[in-house]
Amino acid sequence: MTYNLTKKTKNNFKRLIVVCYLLLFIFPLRAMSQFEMLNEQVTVHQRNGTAAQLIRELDRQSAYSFTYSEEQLSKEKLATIDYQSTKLGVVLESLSKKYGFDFLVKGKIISVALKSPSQDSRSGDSQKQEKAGLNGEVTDAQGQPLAGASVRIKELGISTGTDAEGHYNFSLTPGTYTVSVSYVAYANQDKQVKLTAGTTAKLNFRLVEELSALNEVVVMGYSIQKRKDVSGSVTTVRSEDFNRGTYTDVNQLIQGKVPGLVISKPGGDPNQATTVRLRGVNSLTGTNTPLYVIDGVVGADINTVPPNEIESFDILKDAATASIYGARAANGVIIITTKKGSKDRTNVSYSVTGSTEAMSNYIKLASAADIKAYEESVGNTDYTGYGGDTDWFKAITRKAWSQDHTLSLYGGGDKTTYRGSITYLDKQGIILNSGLERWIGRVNLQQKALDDRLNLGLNLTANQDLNDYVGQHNSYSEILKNVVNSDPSQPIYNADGSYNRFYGIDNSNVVSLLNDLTSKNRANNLRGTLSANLKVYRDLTLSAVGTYESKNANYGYYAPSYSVYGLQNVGEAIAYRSYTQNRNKQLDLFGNYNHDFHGQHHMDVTAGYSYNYYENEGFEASGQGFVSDSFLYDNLALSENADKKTIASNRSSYALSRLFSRVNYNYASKYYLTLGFTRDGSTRFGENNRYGNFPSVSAAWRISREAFFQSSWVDDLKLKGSYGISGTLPSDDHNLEYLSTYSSNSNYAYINGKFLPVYSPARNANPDLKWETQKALNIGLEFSLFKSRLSGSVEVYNNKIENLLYTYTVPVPPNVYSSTYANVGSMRNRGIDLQLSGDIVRNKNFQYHLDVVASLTKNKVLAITNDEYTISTGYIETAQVYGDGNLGYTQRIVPGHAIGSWYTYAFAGLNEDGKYLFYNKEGEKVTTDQVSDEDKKFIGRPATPPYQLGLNHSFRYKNWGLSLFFNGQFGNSILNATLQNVSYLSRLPSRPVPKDFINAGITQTDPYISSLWLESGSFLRLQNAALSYKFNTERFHNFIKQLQISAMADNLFLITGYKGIDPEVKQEVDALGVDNRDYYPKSRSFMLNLQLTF
Amino acid sequence: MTIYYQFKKYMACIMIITSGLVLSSCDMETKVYDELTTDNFPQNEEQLLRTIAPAYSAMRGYADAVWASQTVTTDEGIVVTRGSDWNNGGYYRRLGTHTYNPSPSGSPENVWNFCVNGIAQVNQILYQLSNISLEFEGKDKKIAELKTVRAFFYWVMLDNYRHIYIKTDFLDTSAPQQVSPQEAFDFIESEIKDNIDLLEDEPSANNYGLMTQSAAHVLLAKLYLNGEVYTGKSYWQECINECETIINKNDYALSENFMDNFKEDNTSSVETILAIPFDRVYATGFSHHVYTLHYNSGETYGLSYAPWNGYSTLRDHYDLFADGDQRKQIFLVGQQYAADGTALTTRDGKPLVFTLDYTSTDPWNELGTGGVAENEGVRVLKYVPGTGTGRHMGNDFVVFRYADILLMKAECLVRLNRNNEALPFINQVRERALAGSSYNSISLEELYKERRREFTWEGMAKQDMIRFGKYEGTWTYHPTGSDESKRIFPIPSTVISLNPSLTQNAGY
Repeated sequence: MTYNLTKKTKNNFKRLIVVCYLLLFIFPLRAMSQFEMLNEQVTVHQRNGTAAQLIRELDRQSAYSFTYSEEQLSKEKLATIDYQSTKLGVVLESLSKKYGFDFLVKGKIISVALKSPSQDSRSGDSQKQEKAGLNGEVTDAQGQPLAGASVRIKELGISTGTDAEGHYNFSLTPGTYTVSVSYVAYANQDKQVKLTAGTTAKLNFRLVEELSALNEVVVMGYSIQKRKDVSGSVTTVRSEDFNRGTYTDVNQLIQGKVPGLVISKPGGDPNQATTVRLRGVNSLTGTNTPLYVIDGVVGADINTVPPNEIESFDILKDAATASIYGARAANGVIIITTKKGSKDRTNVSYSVTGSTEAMSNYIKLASAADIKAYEESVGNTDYTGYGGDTDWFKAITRKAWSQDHTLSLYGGGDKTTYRGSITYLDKQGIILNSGLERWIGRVNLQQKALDDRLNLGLNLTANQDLNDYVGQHNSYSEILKNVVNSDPSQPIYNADGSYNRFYGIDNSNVVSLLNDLTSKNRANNLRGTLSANLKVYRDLTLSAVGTYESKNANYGYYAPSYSVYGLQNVGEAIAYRSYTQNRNKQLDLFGNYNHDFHGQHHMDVTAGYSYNYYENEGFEASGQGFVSDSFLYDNLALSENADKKTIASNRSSYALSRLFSRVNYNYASKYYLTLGFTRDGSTRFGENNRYGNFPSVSAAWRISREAFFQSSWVDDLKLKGSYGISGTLPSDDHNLEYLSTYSSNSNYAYINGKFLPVYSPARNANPDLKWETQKALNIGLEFSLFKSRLSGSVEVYNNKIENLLYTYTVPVPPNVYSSTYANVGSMRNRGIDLQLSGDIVRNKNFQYHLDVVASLTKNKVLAITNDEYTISTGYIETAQVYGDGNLGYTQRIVPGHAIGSWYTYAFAGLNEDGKYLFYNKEGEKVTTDQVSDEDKKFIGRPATPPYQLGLNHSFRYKNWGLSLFFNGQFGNSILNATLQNVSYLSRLPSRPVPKDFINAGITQTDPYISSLWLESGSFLRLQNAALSYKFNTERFHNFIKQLQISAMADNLFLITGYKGIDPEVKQEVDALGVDNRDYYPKSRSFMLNLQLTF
Repeated sequence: MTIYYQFKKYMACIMIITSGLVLSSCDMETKVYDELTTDNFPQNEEQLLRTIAPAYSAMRGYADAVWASQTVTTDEGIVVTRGSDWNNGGYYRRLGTHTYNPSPSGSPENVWNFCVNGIAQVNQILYQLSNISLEFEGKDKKIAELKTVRAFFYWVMLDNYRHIYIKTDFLDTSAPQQVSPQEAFDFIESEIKDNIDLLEDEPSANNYGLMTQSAAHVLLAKLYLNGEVYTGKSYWQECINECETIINKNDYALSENFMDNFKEDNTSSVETILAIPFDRVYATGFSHHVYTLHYNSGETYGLSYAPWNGYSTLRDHYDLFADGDQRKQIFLVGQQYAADGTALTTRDGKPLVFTLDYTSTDPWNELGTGGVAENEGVRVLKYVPGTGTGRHMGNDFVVFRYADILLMKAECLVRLNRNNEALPFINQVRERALAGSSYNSISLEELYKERRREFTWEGMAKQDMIRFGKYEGTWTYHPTGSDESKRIFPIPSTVISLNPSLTQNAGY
């Protein structure tokens, strides 16, 4: 079609706009017909002419310009037209009524179109038995065209798709039809249309977005995007999908919910954090934990967030999305967004959970009677034992009770919204005298100003943790070793009721230890964030966010003189106290610009600057020997052993500054391209490598939006790929590795007649130090089928990590010391992440939804040396096992093998004498005294589970809800070092061995380390089950808005072949998959929860 | 509208100003709080002394690593396996039977580390001293002192490894290259000679423990004494000259009571020429008492730390001593008693009686197949800890003492067949130990035995045995016929793999 625009209007176009505005301001309040203003008089006579002729005449006579379709109007025959000096407005109005013209007056321009034929009032004689046209445009609520929408004529069963401009076109036989338009993530729309022969009807659709997964908002760091527009790898978990329980670590909320994110909680210690690994182990000495960003605060403490106040977790998995956080993003980024107020009346919400938990499993060791029987069987008739019969596991554990309350208040108006909450958690540990008490208070305020252009936000969080630790200072795990090593014939109490305080190496009365020792920590955390964002111009928003966070920890340890540690220490009590403070200042300045060019080109730009300053300081002192045990650690000055007083303090800081930018572009929501560039700097590096660049690119293609892709059952299909670079910083222990400094390690030399402290270089400075670099490729396919009944994604990734940081042995001299911290090795993580989500039953009363999360991760070490740094042996030994006998290292890091690969003797059974046999390198079976280091080999499967599975079933029947969450890890071998350690026949009778070990025909006294102790770490656990009932609150006349009660259980059952307490063991890089004697037993818990909202 | 635009203008200004202020505080300078950077340290002489101190603290390893390797490779000491203790993967068997090898834990790598660590520290300090603008009186003296200390480390390295490398420039980061034993010998000799005149002359409380002229003379004397072992060329007269220099200075003499040289407060001993000062709290690392005493012997000495029951000696060495010899006091034999006189017992309740002999045919046997009883073996306690001592003794370790000067001079005279001239010197030492025991004539063999009696567990047994050709001899548990290549230790394999240009010592 062509439009005519006369020359004079072109010339006056600008002036006209001004006039328009003036008109708008002069007559802003009067509602009037658009024709009333057209007061010019025109005179028109026309007989059997066309509409085009008429409009041309009007255009000639009036000061207005008419725009119209020559082609359309010249086909439109008119009856006699006769107007004498009539107001233009009157003419147009009557033409409109009579002939169905559609006029639109805009300033000095009047556009002319024909009304849709359904409203056509012309007589039937003009109808011809020819085809009728139907066309129109499909747009979103903002008027943006939607390409690839499906337009269907219901009666005929034919359909077409919209083109790039959102237009569709049909040629149909006349009649009345129902036109149905569907587009993924938008609500379907049906319209009736009556088509008249020879005419073309125009039927536009304006679709409203539907709340669906595709339209969910994904928090990307400094900007948000819709799920459907994301080209990188991001998984979002919302509060309604969280695991439910009394959790001390918020990671437990999303355990098993995110493919590729393996969260494990080794043991049931309420004070122990979870181990979180995203897409495998990425660093040997740096952190392997993802970077946490809580409400924009990078590296904030996750213990400050109450689980009930979390809105969502967004896990940025690939480097392309995570690299906006630069040098700390190689382990992925977990963004936690907390709940905010709402434009609503005041709500009061209260949630309370009470729970009880007990030890779920333990190692069955020989009892006092078993040992006595054994001793008699070997002819030791003198053996009496100590008269007790103690099961130390049972003796140290209890039924623990916990409570968790959250009270929140939220609401707001048009300008202000607020949310405040108080959380109290009192979590007992199942081991005596261990536990965690936590208070969290937070306030979130949002204020709008300047015609809603300015948004101010205030976030305040304060929390206090009181940790009651198990046991001994500096080594909480020490005490647990006694549980499996202590003599069961030792009674807990003497006859007079006092503790039987026996002790030996790992063989002590654990019950008295737990009661004698005090080991407590009080941590306070305060965080305040002030944010402002200003909509400077239509599409441009500028933001400034400032945060201050301060965390203090006040720790005390006391071992009284009568405790085992006091007795070992020449009968003197030991008191220790430490105080640490961590401070974090953060400033973010950034801008977001969103713009649509010509309807179909969408651009979204984020750029900014971020600065973090972290400072840590600490103070500690200890004393020994007190006149009374009642001081505990509260008056160190009164310690009486002058030689044993110690005092120390430390302080360190580092800064990070980051320039970041990201440009998202999409064409017609069909083709996506995102470019990112981050430049990050850290004071942990010298001038040479202080700043580094982290570029990224990602692209996506929504195939389902293509016109050629028409499928009635595919809602959405997106192919995406990304490549990016991110980094890992040296850990806090390596804060100054690049710098030459002097330090004194309390070492003295006798110079000039007195002892002077020695100041020597603190390290071999490495001025070339830099971050570890991860180059990550991610390719994925996302789909949504059968009207979102089945959706999911498959992603494959290949991450190569270079410049791995490790401490290397170097020649001395020229170096001052024999080790230097340097970037040398490289490794690779490859894997597949799979997520499936389906509404298996979707009825009004009954729904069954299943989520499946699965992943595969494979690690391979590529290099551990380079030209400058070598490792003489060619391998790094890790996973050292401690204890008596021939133990040592059990894993090797070697190029070509996965990290966590076991390297030990291959067990070959027992010989006829009941001694262990091992395969030597020739493949012969040999005994302990015949094997040597050369006979060790790679054996078993690597320690980190390669397969992860999460199954979440959720049922809803009317008001009832039931969810069952199964969590599994498969395909790894773990070292049961606990079992190895207690399998010392030679230690009988003073220490127990496993019960089934006594008569197993083994005569070997020491449990040589070998593959005998490697077991499969595979397991499937019913991690969480929750049954809930939601009351119908209408009967409460809206006084109660919501009322729900739930019963939950954690760790209901476990399917595993593992012989230790639990296969979910520690996965620290220096001892991946080693189940040691310090395992805090796992628990099974039952909980009741009430949620009430007024 | 206008208000809004004006506000926008203000807002923009405020934002720019505050951003500017805030950004200016976003600095990226590394702040160092609890360490000292080269920018601010050292700035005066007191601070400088503390940066020189590492050269001396590095010497403390001599009383541990070097001492142990000199002792338990000879008939003077043995570390036997006791129950589950002290097997250490066969380490002490390798030392006792001279079957050490270059692999990790195959040889006393801590001796190598002691040497290279000391050398590297001194190189760093010398570099720093030469670069610092700070001038003070006696800077030359300090530089000379440090170079002589470094020569001491090189001497230990030459003594134990023979084919060593010389590295003196801190900034030279190239891989160090080996030199011949003669070149190493010449370097050490010239380094001492070049600097000796700048060193402190008179012994004083201020230079106790430091490298003085006299200490440097002893170092030279030691170098010459063993020169033939090192280079194949003898330096007997040169050794005599150095000894005479010290004798003629009259700064030192034999202390009246032999044991006074080693008691806890031995700082004032007139006999000590070079000591390594130790302290229970400050300068730690001297723990011979912990190594040798029985777990329960702490009660004898009022220790606040339970000893480890490891090192003991052999009858071969014990039998060298005549009854009445003051020096025999160092041995602990027979029933042991607590300070209050009660008889001590072993951990399993048997009387704690230190025996002269071991019952085992294989005292270094592997774990779990027998072992030596807790009470077996003669213990040596030359350095007697004071009451209340913990893991670390406060006694100073004597590196060089006057008796050694006398016996070195005597030995060289005998080796030059001037036996009669040697007599007064050896008899001076003998008379102190056992009055009336003077020799009328002296042989090299007698002289050897006298040295062994005088310097038991002073960290020179291996060196002396080698010089007298006894290191390949026979003694209890030591197999005969071990080869001379074992006189020096292998260069640790980890060192060679880092610097493949190094050639391993012959025989390894």
